[in-house]
Amino acid sequence: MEEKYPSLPSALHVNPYTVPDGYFADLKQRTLAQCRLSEMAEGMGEVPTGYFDQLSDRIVTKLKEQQLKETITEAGFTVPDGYFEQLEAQVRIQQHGIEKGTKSGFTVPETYFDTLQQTIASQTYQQPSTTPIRKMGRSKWMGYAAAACVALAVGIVGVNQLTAEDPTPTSNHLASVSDQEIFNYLELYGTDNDVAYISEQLNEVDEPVIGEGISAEDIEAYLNHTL
Amino acid sequence: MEDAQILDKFADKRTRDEAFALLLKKYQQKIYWHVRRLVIDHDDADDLVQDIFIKVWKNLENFREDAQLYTWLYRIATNECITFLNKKKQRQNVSLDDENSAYLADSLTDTGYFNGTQAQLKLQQALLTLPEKQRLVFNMKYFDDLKYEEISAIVGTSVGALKASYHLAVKKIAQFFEAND
Repeated sequence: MEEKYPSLPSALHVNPYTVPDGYFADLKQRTLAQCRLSEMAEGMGEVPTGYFDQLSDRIVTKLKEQQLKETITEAGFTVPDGYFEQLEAQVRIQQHGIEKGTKSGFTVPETYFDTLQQTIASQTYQQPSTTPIRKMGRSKWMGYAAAACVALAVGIVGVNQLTAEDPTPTSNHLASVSDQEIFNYLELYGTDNDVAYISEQLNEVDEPVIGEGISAEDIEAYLNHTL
Repeated sequence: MEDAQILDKFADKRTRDEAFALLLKKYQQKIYWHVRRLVIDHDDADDLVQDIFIKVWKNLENFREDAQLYTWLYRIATNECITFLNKKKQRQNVSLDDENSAYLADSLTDTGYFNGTQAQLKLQQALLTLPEKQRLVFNMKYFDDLKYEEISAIVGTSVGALKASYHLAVKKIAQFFEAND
């Protein structure tokens, strides 16, 4: 200071400021701690989405649960006197029953007894009532023989009917239908090909030849008249 | 007696009976009340508890010890109860999709074995308005004081879902109490 400001009196060459005792001794530690705190604050900024929106609702519900627990700690159900003493005995009896069944070697399906009652019921009193069938006094083979005879007779008659020749074969039926009728039918109900094919196959149409049965004089007279 | 000791005794055929008797003594009340709070009627609970312990007897040697013994017992009991309640719904022509347990309301009033206060009765009535699984979770948390992790192992639902379910259950019960004051 003296070199920079040589005009300043030496009495002023002192630092008037003071610091608390031991300030500089732990300054480094305090500074480092402050740095760590600020780092932690940045890292802990994450909370689930909507956390603060639900927080008050959750706190209120928690309070209601606490109030409920202050008044109600038990469900209110009771049991018959001595129930739990008997329960153990009953379970042990069932357990021994299962053991015995296993020791004898016989077992049943797991749900056997659950369904047994219904199975029996469906086969007994739940069955629909049926009319009893009365047995004939005669021995069975007589009945079978009679039925066989009837079936044979019916069969023979039926076969004869089917195989008997028709006195009027189909060809005779068709011969009675004229070609013109066949042609007319096909024109109405057949395809174009049918008509064309049949017309080739049919005998000449029974149409009179033009000019057949007309005399030459009649023809001449007609021509003189028209021309 | 610790569960591990009971299981060791059960593994030995000479002490199997004794082990089962010890297991019964240790857990029968816990299982009974768990079942009773679900099915309400004492006779139904009685039948179920016996069935449950018979099932335990048959399957204990297959217990893999990858879960706590009482968690395994609770799981068997819970599944038996759910099966029973579904059958009861069918017998009473209640749709299986019907989520609440209103069909059990008659059992609550008809059962000769309910000696609770008005508040306790109201709580049970409120519980019967909840979906079955929610009622189950509430019972295990509220009355049995099980941890969410334990309930998760029993019902196979995540801890988060269970917390949400319980929270909703408490809200609905509070609303029921306010509406029926």
